[in-house]
Amino acid sequence: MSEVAADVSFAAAAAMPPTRAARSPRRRPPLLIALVGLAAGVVAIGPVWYLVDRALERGWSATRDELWQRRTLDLAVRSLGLAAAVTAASVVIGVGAAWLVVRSDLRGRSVLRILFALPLAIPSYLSAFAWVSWKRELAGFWGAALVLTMVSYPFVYLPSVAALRHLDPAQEEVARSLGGTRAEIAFGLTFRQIRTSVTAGALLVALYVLSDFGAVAAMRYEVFTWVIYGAYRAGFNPTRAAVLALPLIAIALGIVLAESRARGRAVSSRIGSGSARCGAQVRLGKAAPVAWLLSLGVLFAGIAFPVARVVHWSTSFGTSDVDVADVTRTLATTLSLALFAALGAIALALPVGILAARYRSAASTAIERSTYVAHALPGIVVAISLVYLGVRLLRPIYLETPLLVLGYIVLFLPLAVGAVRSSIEQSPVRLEEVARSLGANSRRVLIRVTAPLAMPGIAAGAALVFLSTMKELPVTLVLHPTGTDTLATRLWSHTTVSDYASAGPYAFALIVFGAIPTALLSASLFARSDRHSATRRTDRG
Amino acid sequence: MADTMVDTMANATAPNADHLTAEPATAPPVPALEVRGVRKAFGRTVVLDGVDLIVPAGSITAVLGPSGGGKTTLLRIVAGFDEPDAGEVVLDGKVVAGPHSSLAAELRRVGVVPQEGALFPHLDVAGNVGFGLPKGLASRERIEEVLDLVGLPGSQRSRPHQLSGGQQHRIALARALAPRPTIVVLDEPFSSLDAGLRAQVRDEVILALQAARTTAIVVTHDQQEALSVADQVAVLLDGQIAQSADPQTLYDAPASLDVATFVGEAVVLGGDADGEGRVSCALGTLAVRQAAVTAGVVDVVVRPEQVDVLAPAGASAMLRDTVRGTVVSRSFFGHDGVVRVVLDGGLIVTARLHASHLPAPGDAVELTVNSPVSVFPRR
Repeated sequence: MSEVAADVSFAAAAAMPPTRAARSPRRRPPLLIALVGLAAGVVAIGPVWYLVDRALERGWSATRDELWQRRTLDLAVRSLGLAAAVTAASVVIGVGAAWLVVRSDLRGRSVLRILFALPLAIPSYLSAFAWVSWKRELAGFWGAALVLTMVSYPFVYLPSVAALRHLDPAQEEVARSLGGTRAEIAFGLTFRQIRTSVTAGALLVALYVLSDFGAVAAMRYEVFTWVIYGAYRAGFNPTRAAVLALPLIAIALGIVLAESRARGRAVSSRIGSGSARCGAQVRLGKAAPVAWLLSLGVLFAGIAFPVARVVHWSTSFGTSDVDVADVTRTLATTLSLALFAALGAIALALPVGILAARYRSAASTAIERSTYVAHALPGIVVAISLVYLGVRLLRPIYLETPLLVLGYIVLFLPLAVGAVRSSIEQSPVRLEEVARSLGANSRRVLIRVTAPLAMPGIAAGAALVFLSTMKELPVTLVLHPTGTDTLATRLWSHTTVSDYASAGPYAFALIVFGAIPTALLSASLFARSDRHSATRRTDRG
Repeated sequence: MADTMVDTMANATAPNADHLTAEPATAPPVPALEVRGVRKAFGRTVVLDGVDLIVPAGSITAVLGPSGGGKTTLLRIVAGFDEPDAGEVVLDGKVVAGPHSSLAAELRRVGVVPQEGALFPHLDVAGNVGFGLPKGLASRERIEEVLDLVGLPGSQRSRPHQLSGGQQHRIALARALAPRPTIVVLDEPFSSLDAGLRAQVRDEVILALQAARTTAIVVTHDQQEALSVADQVAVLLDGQIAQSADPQTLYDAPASLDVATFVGEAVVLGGDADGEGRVSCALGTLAVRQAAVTAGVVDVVVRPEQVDVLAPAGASAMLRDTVRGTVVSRSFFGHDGVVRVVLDGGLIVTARLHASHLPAPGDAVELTVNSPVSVFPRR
């Protein structure tokens, strides 16, 4: 009975006739999953509704007049240009680094593979301040592009590593036996097969750049987010901020649609022991020193330089009066906020990921896409929208911790959804079928088979949300309760007045505590695929 | 759900009730599985086109068909992973898939052994085998029991990746057997094993199935496997069950030319039936196996072991018709061998004979057919 009810409510909620979905037992999501998935979609899409509502407050013509200006076009060109440059650079660096650590015989690759993921731990504004405090002339497009590439290429690197390790080496061997050159195989076969993962990562990078606020503000590069923030600060004009966010949402929607087309209909789950071994390591030979130099260059720009600057701040200005108690208190606040955000985001992302991976339908796709759209909203717009919602509807939690956590969840839900979805897609459907034939209903299959198999991926998603929350700036700036400061807001308030010495300890704590989940994240990724291939190897025996 | 359940029950019990009142003494036992007119198409490709199949309780039935012929689809429909476009699936007298209702896979009590075993990698052997059982002492005993049954006692704590391919298969079978399902379905169970291991694992699995007295369906494209393991073999050709019979009958008395050529080796010759139990063809005038064959043009099916190969001198003593030919090639298989003989008319006939009497290529021989042959009217 409950399953039929679930089906009906899910279908009705999505305004879809229960045609095939109602007949096939496989396509019927459990009630709880459907409802929470729907709730996640509402949470994710809520700010957009608010935004459109605000933007159109004074009527269509007023909105059009505000937007129909040369300035808007300039903003769009600058934002898109920056996103394109950073995405392209991130794909090159991310895929290249992944290939080096997975498929080449580069010495020290087992250390490199963890180091490459570490820039995730460095907040974009921290990195930006590190560079401009060294050379002011860096401010502008190139500075912003450099900083954003260095903080966002891991979004391509991590999924590429996972995908490369998942490939069946037999295909490459066959291609070589047919006379394909290494280059032909790499570009014609290997990279094509990891395309889905790379595309998903590139999408995240593009959306990250479009919604980044800290780096472009520090680099004083006028793109949508910075201008929107300015509009908000200049006398709290949420309508103008909302209007300016409309083209940004349109661009993000375009990216999301392009991604869905690029993904095609291919489902990445594989059945049976398709991938048995890791591919042979490609010998770099004389290219090894070059590979090493490039790797060190990336690691220097991404980690070593910002860290060195932070150490420099902390020491060169004299730090006798560091307020240890305040740093500790701020750190504790930051960590607990990040924990709540991670748990909340995963709780909402689980059903969305399950629906997207296992109960493919127009409704589940719409829910999944809506979480991506929300990610494209700049943090500052999410923040303003929550201010509005807080004042109008959620008065009791306005400027309280729950509203701040809600803001984080809205922002970082797509990170969690992506992780959950891909890890569920990778666990074979056949195992779930076997479980059902043994009498387990959908809920039990989920708890006893799907969830445990996907757990490493889900944990990775949680770590990602945790990390992003620690680094988050604009939402925290606008929504943090009075008297509650995070490492990010303390760092921001000191660096904006060039008081780098006082910012030092907070920056240091942010980097150290950001590095821990990042290292765990990439270590777990490798441990998982190591175990995976070990299991598969013995399968053959 | 409640409505459809009532529906299902009514459908399932009505015919049986009639049967009981009419002739209570001779009511046949309810088959474990009955598939009636099942159709399934993926897009425009019709995979199953009206499949009818009855699997008697306690038997092992092999579904034999060419690769890509819909065997796995049929299995998935029985297990409840896919739904038929038309037709019914009846398990233990209960309609589980039909035009108006469908019972979820988890309620069907169909044990599934997938091609690669598909053990849960995150659970140990006890966790895998006990997956379909409630927690408790009784379940621990049951796990012990089925592990004994498949010949792997004491392996409860092993992890799937520590087991060999054959052991994984047997654990997968134990897992399927543990909840005492109505029927166990095995999908190409041995195809991923190499030849040496295969025969051994096959024997072990069949012994375990027989010991458990379980009804089982084994899907395979390997005719040796089908003929050697099953009580009943159902041949799935062109989306339909072309014939369903015990292995001996299937081989000796195929229902159609398609079945005759699909199961076992066959030489097919054109011939003329006289309507009185004889047929004349390139191998002479032969006795026809089937009782009622009308006169006319037919295809004659001769199995290689029905052809005796004689030295030319020995032929004169035979009462049967003989034809002359020349050996063109021979293959030696150890226990027996096969020779290919070109007849004086130009036809090539294959004969299987004892390895010690293999003539060499170029030898002149005489051929004779030693038992009645199957014939099928030309369409």
